[in-house]
Amino acid sequence: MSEFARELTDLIKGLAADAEDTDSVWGQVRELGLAGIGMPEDKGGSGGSLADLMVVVRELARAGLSTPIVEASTTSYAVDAAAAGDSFDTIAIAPDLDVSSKALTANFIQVPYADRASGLVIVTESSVVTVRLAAESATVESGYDIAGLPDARVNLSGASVAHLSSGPGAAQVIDRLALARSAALLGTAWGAYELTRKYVMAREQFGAPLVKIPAVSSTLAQMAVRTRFAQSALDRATAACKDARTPELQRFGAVSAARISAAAAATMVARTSHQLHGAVGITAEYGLHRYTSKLWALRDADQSEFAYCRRLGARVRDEGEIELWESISA
Amino acid sequence: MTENALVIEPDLPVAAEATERLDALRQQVRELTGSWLAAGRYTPRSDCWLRSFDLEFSRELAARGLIGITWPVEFGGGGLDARSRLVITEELLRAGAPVAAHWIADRQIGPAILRHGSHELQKELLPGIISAEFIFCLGMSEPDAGSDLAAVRTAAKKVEGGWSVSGRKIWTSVAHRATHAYLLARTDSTGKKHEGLSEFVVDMSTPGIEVSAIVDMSGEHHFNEVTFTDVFIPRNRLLGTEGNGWRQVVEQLSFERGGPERVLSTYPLLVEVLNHLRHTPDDRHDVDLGALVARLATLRRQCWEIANAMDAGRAPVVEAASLKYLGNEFENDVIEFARRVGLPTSRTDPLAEALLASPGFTLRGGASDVLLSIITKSETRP
Repeated sequence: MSEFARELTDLIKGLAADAEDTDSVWGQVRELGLAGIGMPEDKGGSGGSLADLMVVVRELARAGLSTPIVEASTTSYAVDAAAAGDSFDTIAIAPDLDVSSKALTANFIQVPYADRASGLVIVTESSVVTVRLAAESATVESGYDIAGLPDARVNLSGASVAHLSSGPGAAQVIDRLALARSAALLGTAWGAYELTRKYVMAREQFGAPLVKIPAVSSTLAQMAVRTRFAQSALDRATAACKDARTPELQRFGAVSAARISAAAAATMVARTSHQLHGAVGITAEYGLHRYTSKLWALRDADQSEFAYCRRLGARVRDEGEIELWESISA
Repeated sequence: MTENALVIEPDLPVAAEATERLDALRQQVRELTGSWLAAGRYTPRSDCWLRSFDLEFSRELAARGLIGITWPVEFGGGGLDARSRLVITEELLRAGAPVAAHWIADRQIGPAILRHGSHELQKELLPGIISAEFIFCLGMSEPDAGSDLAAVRTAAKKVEGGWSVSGRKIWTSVAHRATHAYLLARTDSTGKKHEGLSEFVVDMSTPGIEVSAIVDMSGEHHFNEVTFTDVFIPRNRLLGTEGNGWRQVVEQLSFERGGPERVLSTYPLLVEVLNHLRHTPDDRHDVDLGALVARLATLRRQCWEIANAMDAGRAPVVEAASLKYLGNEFENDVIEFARRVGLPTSRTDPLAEALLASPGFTLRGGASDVLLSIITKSETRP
């Protein structure tokens, strides 16, 4: 881990320790410039690498802090400039949507943080466009995801659309969103794992800590192994996204693998962390559900785990063995 | 999970020059397997690194300098890094090539001799492995010591000029064709069970060694029971320090467990399935295929991370256990995938061959359950 990444980790730990409400740290995250990491300073960002940004996303999630950092950092990347002041944009993926006309009429469901975002970045198969959410042609109906975090229905009726001429292409933005989402999933899984590990080592039943029961310790090891697996996948995908020369197929393969591995770890960790905690884990008072409900929400956010599996499978079937092998080289 | 366990790697930088060298190695292996395949000299199959024994193929690899690639040039090795070896082994497994003759020696015996052997022993043994003249088998497991290696009872008693060994080793793959055996034996039984173990290299032609076949459930003969009765081992064949065998063998296990053969044993079957889906064509299994490919890609990354750790001089014991655990699971899931897709299952079909080999995947080199306990121990260390 780089020195900077270690500092970031400590900074976020401190933030979590001081936070009165885990959902209200976004202001501080902005003030500290954490949301601008990975974006050069001349574009209004805070500098640092993509890997550093992934550390921030992961550590915020691991500390149980809920913020729109995935949406804010991905949309900054899409428009190639950091958001000004306190504002940020959110994002929706709609591969088949036709955005060629100047006035767009469309409905989106489950758009994260749309009730507090200034703009919406819409990514289709081939285009990236933005829409102002404050405009009269846009209505936002607040709602909540499985974890109780904001997601909204957005109805556009003849909304004026701005096409982005510069900046990364649609495929890159979609990959970047999946990458950040994977980091958030990983951090959340890690947080749930750490809570569980602490619990089974401290909680005594039948005269000894739970971890002395072989079935418990082996389940705990499986959680660790699968979480670490998702980290390996994320590292590989981060490297693929960072290097502009990475062929598209390889980047897509690496990002899909990260997204799928993170979602698979999420499912396993959510289920087993509850099982190992027993009844206390399902109370509102104890903190586990804050992690597990996020794992359930995030594993299918933007595009579902299975949509990623299907796209990757179709691609591999299309390309054949040699391309498969080449594209998944470490 | 320890703080270090989930660090974001700064992207394992590889110089452009190194990348070129790795690509060239890949090409070299592909050309060899390609030409052998075209000439019908081997049939790709699952579990080739244990079951496909062909001395001629191993010697072709040797002639190209592809065995002992990480070992010092002084002994005839390639002087390259662990990543180079990974590229070679990956490509061989991908092709389902007949590599069983040299696999064990190249993977872990050479490295063990390099780490712990005397210079004299290195000079004597390494060139023979590199030229595929010396074939090694692995005398670790015993009838009463499988996953619990510290329970080894085969005893080496000091005698004039060396040691005298008596005991039984079991599940010893390729012992019936080996010129040499690596042997883990007890040189002192008075202390704790992790103490008093030592490592040796034994000539298989020494009087007192008896090899008896154990035919496996698929009807094939690859493993054996090896009985040692007062077998003399010269003093200079002790590997490393007397009584230090446990520490030495644990290091060796990260070489044994941390490679791509723990992931790719059924890759030839996956190729069969993929070709079937392409030619049919059939898109009904895309979700399952995508999920498997995601795992395969990440497992290969973990092999790469382990190779990096080895290049940095570490013995990544826990990472290797973790890779083997997940890799074996993947190997089995490839078989289930082939089954769901509907590949034929006659006894000689690739699916059946892989299936009959599969119970061994999660046993050899450390049973999955034992690997999990190694991981738990590291995770719950206070």
